[in-house]
Amino acid sequence: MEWNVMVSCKHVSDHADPLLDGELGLWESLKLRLHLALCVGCRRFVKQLRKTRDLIRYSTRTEAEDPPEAMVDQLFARAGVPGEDPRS
Amino acid sequence: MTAPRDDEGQLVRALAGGDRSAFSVLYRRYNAPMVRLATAILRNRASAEEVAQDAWVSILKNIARFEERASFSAWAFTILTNAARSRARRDGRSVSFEDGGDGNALADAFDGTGHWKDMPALWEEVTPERLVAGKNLLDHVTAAIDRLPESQRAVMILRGQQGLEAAEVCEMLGISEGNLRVLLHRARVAVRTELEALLR
Repeated sequence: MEWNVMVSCKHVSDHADPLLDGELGLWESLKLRLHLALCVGCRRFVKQLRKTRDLIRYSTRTEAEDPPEAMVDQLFARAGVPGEDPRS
Repeated sequence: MTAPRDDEGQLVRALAGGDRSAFSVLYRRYNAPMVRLATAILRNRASAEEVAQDAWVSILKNIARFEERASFSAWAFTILTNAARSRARRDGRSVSFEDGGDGNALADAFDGTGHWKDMPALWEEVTPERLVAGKNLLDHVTAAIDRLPESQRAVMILRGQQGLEAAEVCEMLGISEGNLRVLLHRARVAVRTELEALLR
């Protein structure tokens, strides 16, 4: 077993994603956290990645589009579903 | 199993009863990502829109039989993925998501000793509403996702945006959990790198 606790910034960048998702083992997680305690660049990178992940999750909310009534009629007809029209 | 949104069970039951307003809510929520996922599979927006419509017809036909063992989103995206794969096969294309992990946006970010060449920027005022180059940041994020290689884009839509469980995404796309992690990591780093360039 290798006990080298020093990892490079590149190593941190390769493992930052599973670190954020809580998918790293204890030893790997400790090595990364030790590096992060000492390295401003990697702390910034991990923060950027966390923010990116949050923006990605949020981004889908901006693209909502209402279905045109005629299209809903057509889809219900194709499916053979009568459909209760709230207008009636 | 993906945690369904709070109102989803109610919407699904209403839709099973033929409620058109429930359909409209679910359509608003899922149609755009369905079309974007189908575009990643088919590489053609017009075909993707047709396949998404077919998927909605299939959802309407089968909603009464939908058992809430899976989330509605996982079920709907499975229907969509299967429909898109069938369409691709009919068009004479095979679809595989196993590769596509190439394209490392950080390839030139480190020196020979593995340290940052340039210090990553401090993202102090990065909010969804922030306007950059005439668009808000979320529009830039969506555009960056749409520029990803197809496999990374599919994983990003399903796991990164829709929050489906890793196992659900793997089954849907026919990939291993290891490959999913690689694709998701490459995709997130690519989006982060595009944002970094925009925000500098």
